[in-house]
Amino acid sequence: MRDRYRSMVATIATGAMLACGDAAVEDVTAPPLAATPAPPVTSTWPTVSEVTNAGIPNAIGIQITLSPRFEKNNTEFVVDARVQFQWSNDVSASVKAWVINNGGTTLNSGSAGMQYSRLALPVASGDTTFTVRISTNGFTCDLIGKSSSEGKASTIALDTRLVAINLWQQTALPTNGPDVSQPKCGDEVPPGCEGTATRVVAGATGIMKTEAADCDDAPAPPGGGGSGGGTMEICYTIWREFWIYDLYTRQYVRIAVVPIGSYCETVAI
Amino acid sequence: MKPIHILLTLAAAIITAVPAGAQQSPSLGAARVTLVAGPAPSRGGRTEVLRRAQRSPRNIVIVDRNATADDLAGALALLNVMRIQYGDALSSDLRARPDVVRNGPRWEESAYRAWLVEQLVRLRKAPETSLDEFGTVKAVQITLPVPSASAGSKATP
Repeated sequence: MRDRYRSMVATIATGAMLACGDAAVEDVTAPPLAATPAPPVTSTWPTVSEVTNAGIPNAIGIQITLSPRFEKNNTEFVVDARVQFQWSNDVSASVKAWVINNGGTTLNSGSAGMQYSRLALPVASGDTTFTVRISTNGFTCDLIGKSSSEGKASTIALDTRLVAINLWQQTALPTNGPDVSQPKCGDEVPPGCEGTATRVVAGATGIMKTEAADCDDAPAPPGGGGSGGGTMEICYTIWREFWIYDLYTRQYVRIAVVPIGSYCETVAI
Repeated sequence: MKPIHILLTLAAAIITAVPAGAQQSPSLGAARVTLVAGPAPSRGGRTEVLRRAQRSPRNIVIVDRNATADDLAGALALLNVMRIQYGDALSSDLRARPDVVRNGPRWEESAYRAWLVEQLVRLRKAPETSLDEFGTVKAVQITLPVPSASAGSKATP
């Protein structure tokens, strides 16, 4: 039994020595050296003579088209920009987007841009699109989305001293996109809710109900308010308050309260 | 926010603000009014009227838990007075508090008073909702018809 144990230990030890020795390693071919990147066909702008000899016209151009809109239940203002250019090898464009409230205060803004450079002869035409997407900071009504764009397209070439020059250039000056508005805020009376007749409609069923269902959420006084209550004398005090939107806290902050005065009125109810 | 920004904004707002009583609305329609229960009126009393130029909801009546139909009638009458005097396109926010309300002899049995009681009950049963500046409060909406012109007025300096 003891001999058998010794034989087994010796076999294992010999196997381990053989496995870890050099004899166990087969010949391995070293991986080939990494291929050296081939030099680019051209790493600089074309020369003026190349541009001229290629018959490149000077009909250079750039057009920027903006498509502003509100998305995601009016919680995001999105401006798609499409840039088209002709006979240019260097193009750049930028787009700004911002949202303002009724008071003209900018609540949020953003921008995006593109740069296209081709170290070769200008292409006949090209186009690209990009998007600016900004939040309305939770406001879903009464905001106005505004946008503007600018850009330039150039044909760049090397002169005889190998200095890059703008052979031709077209500039799209800052241009505003169309303003887009969010829906008005919900203080307005829903269409069809005025008057007493709509109260009857509001209680109807079927298709009539769907048209005026919102009226039920904000009932009006009986008889349009003139319900025979006579007159009322009321004395009151009134203040004017000034609020501004704080961009840091993203909340309206009251900055001043100015008393207007105390008055008495006699009103019909 | 820097103090200079506040001062500049305040100066611009005061310069552009129309003096009290100088505004007249060209045409008033029915208005949506939000009744809010929960927060105590900031200047005492049982009701307070807020008219906001930029924020929504535009017309708010804060109703204290002890407010009665008479108090609510006074607040809504005050809101109508403010609409007549300042219009619906405000350049700045307005806050007003009814001090004294005197009803006519037929007030107690009027249908309008009964309707106001219904609205107070409706407000107290309303589910809580989130309203900026007020937090989570009970709120309901009502529709005020076109206000009729006031019978007369006098200013107390």
